[in-house]
Formats: sequence, C-alpha cells, structure tokens
Amino acid sequence: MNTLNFKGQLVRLAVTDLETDTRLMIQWSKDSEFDRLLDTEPAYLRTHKQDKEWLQDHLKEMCTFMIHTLADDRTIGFIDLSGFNWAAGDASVGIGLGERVYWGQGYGTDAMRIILRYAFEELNLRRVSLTVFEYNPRGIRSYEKAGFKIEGRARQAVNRAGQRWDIIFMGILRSEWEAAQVVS
Amino acid sequence: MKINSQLFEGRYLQISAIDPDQDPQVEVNWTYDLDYSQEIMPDGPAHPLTLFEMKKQYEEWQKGAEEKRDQFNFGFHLREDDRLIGFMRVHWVSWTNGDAFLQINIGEPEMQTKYGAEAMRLALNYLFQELNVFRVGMTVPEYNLEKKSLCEGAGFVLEVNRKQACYREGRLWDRYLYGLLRSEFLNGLAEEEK
Repeated sequence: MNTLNFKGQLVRLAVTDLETDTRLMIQWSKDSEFDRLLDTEPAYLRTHKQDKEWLQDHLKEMCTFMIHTLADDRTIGFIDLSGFNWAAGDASVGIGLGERVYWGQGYGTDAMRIILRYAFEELNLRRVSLTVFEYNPRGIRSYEKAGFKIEGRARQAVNRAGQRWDIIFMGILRSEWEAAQVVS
Repeated sequence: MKINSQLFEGRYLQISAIDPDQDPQVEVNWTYDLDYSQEIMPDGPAHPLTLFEMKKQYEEWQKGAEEKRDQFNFGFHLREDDRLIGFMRVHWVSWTNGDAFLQINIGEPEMQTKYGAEAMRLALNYLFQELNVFRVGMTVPEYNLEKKSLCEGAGFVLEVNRKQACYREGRLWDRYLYGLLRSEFLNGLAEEEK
C-alpha cells in the first residue's frame, strides 16, 4: 500500500520545522537571485519573526515540505502545494532550492516528481499548475522534465533589472502524468 | 484623455464608493447565480455567500485599499436612477511591476449585455490613465462567452489557456487568462479617435 514514501532518487520530502527551517529560509533569501526566481514581490530581507509567522499562517492552507538530500540529509530547499480548488481538482506548486550548489542537477525535478505523485494519487487532483519567469530557463527545463507543458505566457508582466519579462504558465493533467508513468 | 475628463462618469454609468451597509446584501442575492459567484471567486468552487462572509470580504478589500493600497473595490451605478448594477474590482496591483488583476462583476446578465462595455472602458481608463499600470490581466472561464467577447472587444489578448482548470455543471472547462498592455490600450484609443 505504501508506494509513496516521500522518497525519490536524490531527495526526500520532510515536513517543516518552524524553527530551524525558518532560519534556513532567511539564510536563502539573502541571495537576491533566489528571491527573484521565487515570486513577483520585491526581494526583501525578512526578520525571523516575520518568516515564522508567515509559515505559521500558511501551514493550514498550504501543503509545505522541505527538500532533503538522500545522500547526507542536507535541507536544500522547499516545495509546496497551495491554492487548492477542490471542485476542479487544481492546485499550484511552488519550489525553491536555496542551496545553489544543487541547482541544475536534477534535485528539483526529483522533488517535483514526488509531489506530483502525492498530488495525483493521494490528494486526487486532476491538474497541477505553476508559473515561472522567462529568465529562469533552468526552472522551465526542470518542469518540462517532470511532465509540465507550457499553457501560455502573461506578456511583460514583470519589471526587473530594467527589463520586462513574461510569466510563463505551465500545467500537467493527471491523464498526462499517468501516461508518462506507464512509459517509464 | 484630457486632464479634466471625468474618470468616474460614463454615459450611462457612474463609478461610486462602496456602501458597506447596503451593497453586500445586494451582492449576496447575486451569488445564487453560480456564474456570478464563480466570477467573484475564480479560484474556488462556486457557491452562494452568506451576508457574514460577504461583509468580511468587503472589510478585507477595504483593508487592502487603506493599508496596502493595492486593492480597489468600486460600485457601478446607473446614472438615471442610481441603481447598483455591479462592481469594478482590482484584486491586486503590483506597483513594482505595474501589473494589475481586474474583475468586472455585473449582477444581472441583461445589465452586463447593456452596460458591460462601458463598465470595462471606465475601469481601464482608471487603471491606465490614473493608476498608470503597464498591464492589466483578467481571467475568464471557457463557458463565459459574454465575458470572453467583452475582453476581446476591449482589446485584450488571450495569453494563457489553463486546461480543465474549472468545474461547472458536471464537466471541466478551460480557464483563460487575458492580458492588455498599456501600448495596446492607447493604440485602441487612438484608433477610435480617427
């Protein structure tokens, strides 16, 4: 029965520890490139209290995990599902790898594969959505590897570093995910 | 647009401040129409709202308007008899990016047919010529053909097709994201003046 053990090939997903993980998040957010990949809010240096309160407030409506490496159990990022629409079976996934040395090596894709299995086989979702900035080609590649398809782009919706950028919308349907499981 | 042109006054419609004592009750009655309640709550299941929930929502919008200054909630009234027919809602403005998310919520379908285009025009004028945004986004479910043509008529471009992201009347529907850029809005105005 227990096929989902929150473990992939490279990482496992663990629940958040409000104290230690908040410290990590604050550490990561000093990296403004990390901040600018995350969302459209201006990069900002939050206090421990602000971050902890934010996490506490959002634990109920979100489903948040920390990403740990299997090799040495290091916490390298987070992944979460939020914005659940239970009638349509839709939710949004967000992911961030705070430890830069793990970028571009399949750790994020592995975490995404675990949370997609959770979303479709346990939460009974019909689709999972995400948005990514056009200046994040590494993210886009990773999401495509996990099975997401581009559904369109909000043109020039972000203004950063003196330039306008698109927000790319991606989605994966359960039927598409299931077809990919049969192949692999 | 001239500096002395009226932003809140159209030919048939007037944009007015919310009346927190009366407007929520009027709107609660509209939410039995699930097309309407899906519009005002695009990310969740459509359901009629209680007066308590609606008032709470109004308070949140008011808070967003006063404290964060990134939300706007105004009413559309008929000029001839001051009747409330709907709302213009800017759910957020990202000031750093000049990006806004707009809803035009008209209570009764026939009012939408009659006055939707003018409501849209007034809202866009306010957004582009006063709030000075660069882009306005709107979402429309696949089944809402009237809203779709309202967006397209105002020059919005279909940007994203979120497949099967909406469930109504026993089936899944796509949800569209429309976007209108400042340059497109201004070109549209220039075309009309020719």
